[in-house]
Amino acid sequence: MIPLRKAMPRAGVALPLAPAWEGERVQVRPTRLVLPLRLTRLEQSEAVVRVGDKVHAGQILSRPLGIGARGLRSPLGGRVEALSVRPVSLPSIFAQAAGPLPLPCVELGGLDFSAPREGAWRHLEGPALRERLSGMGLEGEEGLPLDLELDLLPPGSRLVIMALSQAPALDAALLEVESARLEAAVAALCRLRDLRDAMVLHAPSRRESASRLVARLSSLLPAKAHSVAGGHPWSQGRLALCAAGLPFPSPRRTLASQGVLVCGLGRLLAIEGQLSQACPGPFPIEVQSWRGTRHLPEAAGSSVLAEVWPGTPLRDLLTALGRDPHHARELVLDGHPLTASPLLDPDQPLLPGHLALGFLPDPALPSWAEGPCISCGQCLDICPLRLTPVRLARLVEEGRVGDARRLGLESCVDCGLCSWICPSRLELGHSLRKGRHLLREARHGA
Amino acid sequence: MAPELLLGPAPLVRRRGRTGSIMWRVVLALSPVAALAVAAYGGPALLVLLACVLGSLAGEGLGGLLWGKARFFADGSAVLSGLLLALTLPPALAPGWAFAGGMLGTLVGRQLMGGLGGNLLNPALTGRLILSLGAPGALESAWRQPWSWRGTGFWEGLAAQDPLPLLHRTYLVLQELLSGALPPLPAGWPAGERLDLIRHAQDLLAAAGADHLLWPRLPGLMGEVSLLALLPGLCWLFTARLVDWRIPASILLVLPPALLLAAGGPAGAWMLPALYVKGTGLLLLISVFASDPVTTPLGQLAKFAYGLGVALGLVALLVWGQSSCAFWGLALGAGLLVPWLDRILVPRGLA
Ligand code: SF4
Ligand code: SF4
Repeated sequence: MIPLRKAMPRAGVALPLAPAWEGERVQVRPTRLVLPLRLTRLEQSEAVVRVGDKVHAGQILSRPLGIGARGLRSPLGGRVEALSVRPVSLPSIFAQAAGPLPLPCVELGGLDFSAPREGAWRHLEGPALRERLSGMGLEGEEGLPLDLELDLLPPGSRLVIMALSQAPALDAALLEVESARLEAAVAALCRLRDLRDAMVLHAPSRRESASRLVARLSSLLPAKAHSVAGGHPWSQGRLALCAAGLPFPSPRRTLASQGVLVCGLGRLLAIEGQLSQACPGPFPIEVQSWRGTRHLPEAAGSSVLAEVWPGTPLRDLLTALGRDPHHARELVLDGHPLTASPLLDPDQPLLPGHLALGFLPDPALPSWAEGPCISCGQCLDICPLRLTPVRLARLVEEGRVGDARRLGLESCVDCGLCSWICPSRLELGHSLRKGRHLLREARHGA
Repeated sequence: MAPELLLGPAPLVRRRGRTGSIMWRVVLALSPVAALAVAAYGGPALLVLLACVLGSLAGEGLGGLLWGKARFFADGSAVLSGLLLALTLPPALAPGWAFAGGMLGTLVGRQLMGGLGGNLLNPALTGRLILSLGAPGALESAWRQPWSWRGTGFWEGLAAQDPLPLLHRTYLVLQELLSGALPPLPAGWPAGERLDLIRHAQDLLAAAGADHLLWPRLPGLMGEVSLLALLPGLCWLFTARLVDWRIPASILLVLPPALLLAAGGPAGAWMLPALYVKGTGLLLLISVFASDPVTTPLGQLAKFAYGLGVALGLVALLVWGQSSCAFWGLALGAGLLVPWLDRILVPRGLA
């Protein structure tokens, strides 16, 4: 048996994305973004924008459906050109096994690459807000998803930071220790929401650290930040809202639509985390070209690191690399060449998770003519799990998935080495993928 | 215009070397032996070689016509089968028989069983067995004395040094063991009494001399003209993993001690070299035929079990067997057990 780490160099495969990139970089400016509303096979979301809507960088495009799902935010400002359903190869390995899936997508055109802060944030009120909330099934709800709450803030909103919650010790610690992140959170909010000013409510014993935070926030905001020291958290909250001219208690969405965002320190840190994720910037894709045939002994020339906005169609990357997407007689691979799927559609959007793309340019690519298995046993020798790939593949093709399972079908790690080494060019790995897919289906069906 | 992107499941890269190239590399590894055989035995050996290869190709083509199976001339398997068959034959066989052996072996051993990959029988061995059963006379009259730079008087030279009686007596003993597989005694040789097997084998080796390993001194199979010409090719095949080393290794591990036990003490130890010297095909059987991937098991454990079985079968045959057909039949018969071995000794993986 050849250990995997030895077999990989034999396959001539370079591991993608070295941590520090010293080679050439290319920035891809897409003409349009195609953003699928499902990030994995299971995670679904639903569009909350309509064709013709103008959106801004970081704006919510979809709301999550189901537990654990994520909504989608726009990486760039632009206009919604279409809500389409198109085949998309998702980057996860499990999705790849299923091939391109028809997914609902938001297509943005007229992209605005200028600073994301430009332009006013969407502000809904009155009937428009009610309509939107009822459209999202949120009418009458007390709590709002944080995303939506942020989305509802009008320009010139006020941030109320409550540093005196029912866990004063925690607040004190956060104020002392996390002041840099709090500042970053407020800066991110300012960038996206045009905040006017901030008020920090704090315990009298934390006056000093609260003042430091207030001083820093003042430099970020158009109007001066204030701090209010007080007794019990509840009375502090009432005090703060009264100072803001708002009724207390008041539902979050009312506060948000009235231009007040009330946060504890923990929530503020959560916002910072969410904002840094939710407003996705360009991500790196390593692009390698390989010389010769599919045997891939070596990469030809140096690789290029392309910086790609999520949703950039493959054709824009090809164009940026000086390749003609209409005459690309080459295979565009997504990911590791031993397990990658080919990306066949030039409109396929590139998504974070598409880590490395490779091109195998050769007009004389040999076809994978399958020969008969000659029982050479090389697939057994190379399998890192010591499986019998040829036997498993045969069982799967005969429909005996249960027997294949007993022989370890599910422990196959889909490394692709068995197919790589087979002199008869049998698609062993593919058959095993198919087998595992059938097993999963059977399990879900049961 | 639709983009010309190509479709295929991962992995999208493959190692160099396809089935055909493996076959051709085995052909290449064996070609020094074939070339030496032609050099040592001359024109008749070349004719046998060509006839076998052509017969094998004809069998492949005919099989394709008869059963509609795809023909893989280019994959080299037919050429390899022909070459292997030729190596198991005496050098002066009538080309007609050689052609028939190649064709029938490929037809029966491979094409009838579903073509390359589906066959349980090695086509070359099948052809050899068919010839042993169908044309024993033709085989027996086909042994030739190899050419020697010491002149054709090699035998006479030996006679002058008087090792001939010893050689002859050894010959008789071995002939008993493998009747029909050995060249006939030159006319006019006196029949001697049976001697102890050890003595015979020792005498035989002494008569042949160490240079027999390089160049044939005694009549034998075309494939065993020179151990030194065979070994580099075999080593290459094993180290490049073109054929698996496990079966030959397990046979070679088991065979000598088993022979030692079965043939009654040290007698067995002398049998292996003696059988090589006599050009019986044992070496070919162990190294080339027993490592034919198609007709041997897949799993490692099954390979060792197969090697053990073949070794024990060989011992039984060498010590108690009476027919050279059984010798080739053994390797063929072992192939029939392969699916069973693969089933019971299937590797279940680490997980
Ligand atoms: S793909 Fe699966 S069966 Fe094939 S070598 Fe890798 S682990 Fe083994
Ligand atoms: S590597 Fe290919 S030809 Fe060899 S045993 Fe496996 S499936 Fe058969």
